Amino acid sequence: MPVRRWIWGVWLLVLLCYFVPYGLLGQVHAWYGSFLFWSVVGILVIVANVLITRDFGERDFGEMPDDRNGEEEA
Amino acid sequence: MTPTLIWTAVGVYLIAGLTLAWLARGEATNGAGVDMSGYFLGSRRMNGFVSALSYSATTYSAFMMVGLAGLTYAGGVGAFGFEIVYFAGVSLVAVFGPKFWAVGKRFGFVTPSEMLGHRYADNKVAVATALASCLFLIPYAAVQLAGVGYLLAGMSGGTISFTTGVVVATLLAILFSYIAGIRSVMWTDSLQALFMIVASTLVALLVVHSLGGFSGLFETLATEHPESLVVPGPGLFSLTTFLGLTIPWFFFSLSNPQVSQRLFMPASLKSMRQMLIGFLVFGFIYTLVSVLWGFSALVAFPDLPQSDLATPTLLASEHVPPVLGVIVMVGILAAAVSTIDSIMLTLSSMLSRDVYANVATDASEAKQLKVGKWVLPIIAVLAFLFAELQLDLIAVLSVAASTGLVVTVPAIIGAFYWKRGTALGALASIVGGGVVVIALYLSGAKPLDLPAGIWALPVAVVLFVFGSLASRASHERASEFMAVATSRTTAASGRSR
Repeated sequence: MPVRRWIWGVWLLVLLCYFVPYGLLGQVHAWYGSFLFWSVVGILVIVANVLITRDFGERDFGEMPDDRNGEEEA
Repeated sequence: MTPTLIWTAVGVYLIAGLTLAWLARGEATNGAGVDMSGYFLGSRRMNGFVSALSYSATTYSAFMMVGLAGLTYAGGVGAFGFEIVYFAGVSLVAVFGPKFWAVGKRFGFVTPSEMLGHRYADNKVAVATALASCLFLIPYAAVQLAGVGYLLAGMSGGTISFTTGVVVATLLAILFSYIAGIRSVMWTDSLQALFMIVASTLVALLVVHSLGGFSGLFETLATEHPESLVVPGPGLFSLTTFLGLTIPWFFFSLSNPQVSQRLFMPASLKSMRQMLIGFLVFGFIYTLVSVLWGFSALVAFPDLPQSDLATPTLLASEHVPPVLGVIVMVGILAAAVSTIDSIMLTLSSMLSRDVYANVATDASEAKQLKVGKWVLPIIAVLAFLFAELQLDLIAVLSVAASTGLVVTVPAIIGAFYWKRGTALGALASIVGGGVVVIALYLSGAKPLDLPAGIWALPVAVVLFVFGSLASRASHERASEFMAVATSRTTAASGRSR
């Protein structure tokens, strides 16, 4: 799967953030209800972003005249 | 909590922050040849780790440990869902970050509004975006300042006055942003972010432990407050309210210039990746911690008259040792100051780059920088006066900030994806959308029984589309802009397959 496609997984998760807690989990009065669901979504969002940005490289504009390669100790 | 303990803690924080701000001075921000991009963007050479911590500290204001805990106390787990939708929205950085970064580097943009003015080939778009940002963000900063005033006054039992607290926060914000521009902001932000996360996590662990651990806390919630574990729950988070809150916040990473400007700064896309992932890990922990505070307060003190008292009551209770309480107080102060100084720095760059430079003749880089540095304390003083005056209008504009700024989103997304988008469309959506949002908040009107947060984006989209279709697009400018924005993305995607 091309890396950029994972972003659609994030948008799907966002939709589920509305449908699942307000629908399926509306009567689950426990930690393993909406609390767990949104926690898992949070972790999956992190994983998805790791995958989406896998190809963010060190030098992508090497040919540009104003590019600076050095990364300052900011 | 004694004033001596509070002042000692504030003093230590002040010395540590100022030392770090001073050490942050460098050639890029304080050297002989310093320019706009040096002072406000760190010469586009910021590293990933510092960027991640600074992005976190800038994004998360005093709202989290006070407001989100209070929202959880009042509305239950829906508050967590609200933050998680916002959190997922930061993934927009993964999509738009490389585009902002690429066009910023190629065209030398210092502010997001300057980028829009260039893309739509009309300086009025830059001016309108900059002024709209000021309109909503100065009141937002003012409310943060007022929050510090209340915090210090409340925790000292009134011995430290509200005004003293506001003055302290204003001075800190000015110094942290003035000493070395973005570099002192980012260095002090990093220290403050670490402080925020460590202090708040410690308190959460202690409090949850004293309430019977994670299972004990949730068992009590399930038996005594079962509605707090579902949505809509106690009633605060009806689906329409949830939508009204989450839609504007989902776009926060694009709509708020103090964070979108950060997309111009990383030294490389690898640094941008570190910034994004670092922020997400920080944000997830911080969100969980703030929500657990709210739940803990609900279990320990179920009868508070106001939900905003959840955090102060928890900190003053026997569950938290006084020394840790004062550390968290400094953490909340740090959270507020780190947000305010970034907002001030961004707004001053926008006012000098997008308003002054477009109005004045012969506005050289050096003159722009001079104006930016003059504007910085003026914005701070304005925010201070607003905080002191406690005007209703300021409170309204502050609450409307996230909704008001979402009207810039169609023009931002359109800049990268819709060649047919025009300056008229951008102006109509930003000015017209902004006016609609303010009118809805001021009048309290809810057309079709839907809150302003739901209306803002569709109204702005319609105005952007119709305004664009009714005018002539600059295809040449749009094509050039989009080609630069996508050149890296395409090349990089090709490599990864």
